[in-house]
Amino acid sequence: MSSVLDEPMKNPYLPYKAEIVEIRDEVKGVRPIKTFKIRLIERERFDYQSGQGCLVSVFGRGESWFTIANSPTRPDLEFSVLKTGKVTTKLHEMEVGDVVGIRGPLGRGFPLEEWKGMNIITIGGGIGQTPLRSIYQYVIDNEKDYGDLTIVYGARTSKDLCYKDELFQLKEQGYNVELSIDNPEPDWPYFVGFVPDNLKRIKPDPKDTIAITCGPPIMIKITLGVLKDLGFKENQIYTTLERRMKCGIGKCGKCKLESVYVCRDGPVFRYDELSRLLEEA
Amino acid sequence: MKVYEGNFLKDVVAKLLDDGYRVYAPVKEKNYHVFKVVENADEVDFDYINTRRSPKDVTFPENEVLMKYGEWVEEIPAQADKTAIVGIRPCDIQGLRLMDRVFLEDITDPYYEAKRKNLLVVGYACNEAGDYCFCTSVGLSPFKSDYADIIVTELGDKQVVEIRSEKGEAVASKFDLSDASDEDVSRKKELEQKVLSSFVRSVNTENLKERMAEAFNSDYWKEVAENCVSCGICTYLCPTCFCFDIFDDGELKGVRIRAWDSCQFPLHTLESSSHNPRREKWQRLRNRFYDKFYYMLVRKGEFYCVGCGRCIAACPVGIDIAEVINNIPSGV
Repeated sequence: MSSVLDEPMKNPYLPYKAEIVEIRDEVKGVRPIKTFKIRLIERERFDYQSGQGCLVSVFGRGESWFTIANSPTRPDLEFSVLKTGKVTTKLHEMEVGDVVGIRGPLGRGFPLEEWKGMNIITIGGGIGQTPLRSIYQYVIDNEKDYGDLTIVYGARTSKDLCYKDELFQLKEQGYNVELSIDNPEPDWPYFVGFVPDNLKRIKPDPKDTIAITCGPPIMIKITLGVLKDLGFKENQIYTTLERRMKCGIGKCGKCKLESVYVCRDGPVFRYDELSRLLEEA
Repeated sequence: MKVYEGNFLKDVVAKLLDDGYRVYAPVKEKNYHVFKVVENADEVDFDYINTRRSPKDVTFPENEVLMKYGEWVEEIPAQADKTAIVGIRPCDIQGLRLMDRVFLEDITDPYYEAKRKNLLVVGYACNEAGDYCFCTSVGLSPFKSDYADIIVTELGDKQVVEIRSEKGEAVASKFDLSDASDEDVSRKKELEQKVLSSFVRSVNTENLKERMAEAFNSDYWKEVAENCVSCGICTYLCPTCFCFDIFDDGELKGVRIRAWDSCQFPLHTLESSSHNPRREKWQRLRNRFYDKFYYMLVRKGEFYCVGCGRCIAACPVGIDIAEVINNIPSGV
């Protein structure tokens, strides 16, 4: 695996030059989400694992961490960005052709090699679907290596669902995609209720299955309880953590959760790694 | 063991300045001492127990430009001047060692490394424990350090000079040093005994990790933090507190800077979603004590407290890390 950090002469604080090559609106309204497709300018793409992140620089505003939203089997880097702070607000104003900085890939991704032969279930909420999308794309692109794939995903309203077109298309193609929204809406043909309730209804079999969950903290917490009730062991459950991050290389201490640097030791964690900590992750 | 007839520390400052070093040495300001870049050996004053601020800024400045940006990014070359720190106490040398472990282990921080590689460390053994000192509780000695290049002990009329590295040897060889006599050796031993008996503070580190694991959810931490004003002076002065922020200064062109940050500030961990993993001040204060005596012990295998007592001396509401650790309740 080559990564920017494996190149010893490179200053790990210096970003690569990259260009926005495509922008897609995922969610509109007051909390908009856009997906940016980004291409490195001065070098070929770099290899990464699903679950790893990058720090995206908008000079004059700073850097923000985003988990890579597409699979390493697909071209370019995609980041789904919720407009919420000064970097993301500026990003939302940017256009195709604009230049940004990229530092990455950073952190530890999902052990997809280790999961070969297993069934995979992803359980996502809202923008938390981002790292899970990278997983399901990877599993779809390497279908013969994995068992059954189940995608469980929900958002507050149908307008808040990310990657809608892709997910509807996958459903049409026969993939097991289980969508939900929190409150009833006319013409919504799928589950109404919270993501963990949908999971209870689906009742996935824990045998030879890896469950990966990502979403708002409260959703993750309840989902973990549901998975345990279904018979999932802590070492079958993975999540990714989000913390404020600055350096991305395990120095600055911002994302430090006890002895763990989320940016360096994570952001991907197996649940038993988190349950032995004192502080709530 | 060598001795120098006279003030080795002062003479070494003069010599290093002559040789073109940038020299950090203790300077008296009002009623306290602080490490400063000096231009003349006469500015220096070695009559102090310890400096008010730790000298961590020698390798890890309070503010540091990482790069310039405009059309694109311009790398700022890491500073590489020959630098020396003269008169650093053993606790602060341990602080330097612990900082080295943060910035040089795993991924190397190039800005820190450039300064560290070019740094000569001339230590100064303590002849007296300060009111807030407790280095002996965290496994350190007030008069020894194997991590310095040279360590000097004041005997009154002369100074004992112990050379601890090749870098130290190269500098010490320029001085007229003689072998220590039996009398010098026994005077040094006596002095060490006197120093050890001058400590008034200690921290009980027995089973500390277990005690802390047990007490994590205790209301004790709320009581400890009752008067805390989250000012961050403890982290600012601490020789092992390394947290920093990175920010851009200038909209279209400018500089990307890193600056010291503090886990005591609510903004340190506040996320743009408004979620804050350590929202309450007692959680932030608890984080500092656990980081020093538990979290970093798990990560690096040693306490990230050197017992300098600066945080005790400076706390505006009298929070005393030694007392806090000693009073951790059991059976909660």
